[in-house]
Amino acid sequence: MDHPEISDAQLVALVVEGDTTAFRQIMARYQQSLYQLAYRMVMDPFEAEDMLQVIFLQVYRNLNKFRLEGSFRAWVFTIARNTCLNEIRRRRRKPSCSLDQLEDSTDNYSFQLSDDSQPEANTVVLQDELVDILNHVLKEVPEKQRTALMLFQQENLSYEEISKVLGCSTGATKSLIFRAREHLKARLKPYLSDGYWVPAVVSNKGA
Amino acid sequence: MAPHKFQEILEVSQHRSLTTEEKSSLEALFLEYPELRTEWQSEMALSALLNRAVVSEPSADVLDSVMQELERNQPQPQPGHSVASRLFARFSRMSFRPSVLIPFSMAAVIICSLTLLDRSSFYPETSSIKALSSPEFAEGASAILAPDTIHDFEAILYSVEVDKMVDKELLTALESLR
Repeated sequence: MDHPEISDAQLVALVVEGDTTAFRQIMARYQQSLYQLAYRMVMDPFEAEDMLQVIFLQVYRNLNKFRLEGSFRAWVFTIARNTCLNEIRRRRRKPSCSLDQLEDSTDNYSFQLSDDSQPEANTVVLQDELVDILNHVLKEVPEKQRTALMLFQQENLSYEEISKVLGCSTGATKSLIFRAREHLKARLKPYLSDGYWVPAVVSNKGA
Repeated sequence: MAPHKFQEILEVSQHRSLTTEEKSSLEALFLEYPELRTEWQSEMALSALLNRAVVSEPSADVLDSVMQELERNQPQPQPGHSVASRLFARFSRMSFRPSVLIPFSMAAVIICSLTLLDRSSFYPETSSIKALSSPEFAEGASAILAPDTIHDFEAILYSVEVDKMVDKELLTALESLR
C-alpha cells in the first residue's frame, strides 16, 4: 500500500537501509509511468513488461547512486530510457529478436464513424479511433521528441527534469516538444476542423 | 506566426490552469489575431487526445516478479559503495564552497584532461569529467552511467581508474594551490 505522505527520497533512504517493502512502494508509484515509457519505446505490451522488470532491477541496483536532494522522477526516467535504449540496441545486433517482428495492431486502422443519430456514442467512437490513430502516428515521431512530449504531457515533468532525462538543454527540450506536436498536428490535420476533432473525409483516410 | 505571448500562454496551459490575467491576455490576443482562436482550440484538442492515449496498466504480477528476483539474486544497495557516486559526490560537496570551487574545478579539468591524453587505453567517455563540479550534472551522470556500468565492464574499470587518479592528482593539485 502506498503512503503518499512519504516522499520518494524517504523511500529511497529506507531501501538503502534494507527495507525492501519500501522498494515495492517505489515500484507501485512508478510502474504505470515507466510502463508507458517502455511501451512508447518498444511498442509492444509484452516487451514493455519485460523491460519494466529490467528497469526496476536497474533502479534497485543503482539506488545508492541517487543523490537525495535531486529529482528522483528525473533520475528514474533517465535510467528507464537508457535501459530501453540499451536493450533496443542489443536486440538490433541480434536480428532474430521480436522487436523487428512486432505486429502492429494499429497498422490497419480505419476511421469509420457510424452515421446514426447518437452523437454522444459517436464522440466516444471518434475519440477511441483518434487515440488509435495517434498511437500510430506517434511511432513516426523520433524517439527523443516522442519521449520529451510524453514526459511533458502525460507525466507532467518540467522542462528541467526532461532535459536531465534526455541529456540536453531546456531550450532543446522545448524544441523537441514543439517539433513533436507540430508533427502530430500535421499528420492529424485531416481530423481537425476549426480546432475540433471531426471524422476525416474518405480521401484523407490514413493520413 | 503566433505571437510570442501566445506561445508563452500555451506552454503554461499545458501544465496548469490559466490565471485570470492570462485568460484576459489570451482573449485580447484572440481579438487582435482571430486565427489564433482556432490554433488554440487545435492545441487543446491535441493535448486532450494525448492525455487520453495512455496505455493500459502492466499486469499485476510484474512487481511480484521483481521482488522475487531481488530476493533471489540482488544484493542490498549499500550506501556509499558506488565508485561513480563517490567521485561525483566529492565534487558536489565542494560546490557548496564557492571559494574552493573555481580553482578546484579548473585544476580537475586540466589535470584530468592532460592525464587522460597520455593514457589512450582509458575508456573514451572522458567528457563527463569536465562538469564534475555541477550537482545537477552529477545527478544526471549517475543516472546515465547506472545502466551502462552494469553491462560494461570497461566502464567500471574506467570509473575505478578515474577515481584513483582523481584522488591522487587532485590532492597534489590542492597542495600546490595552497
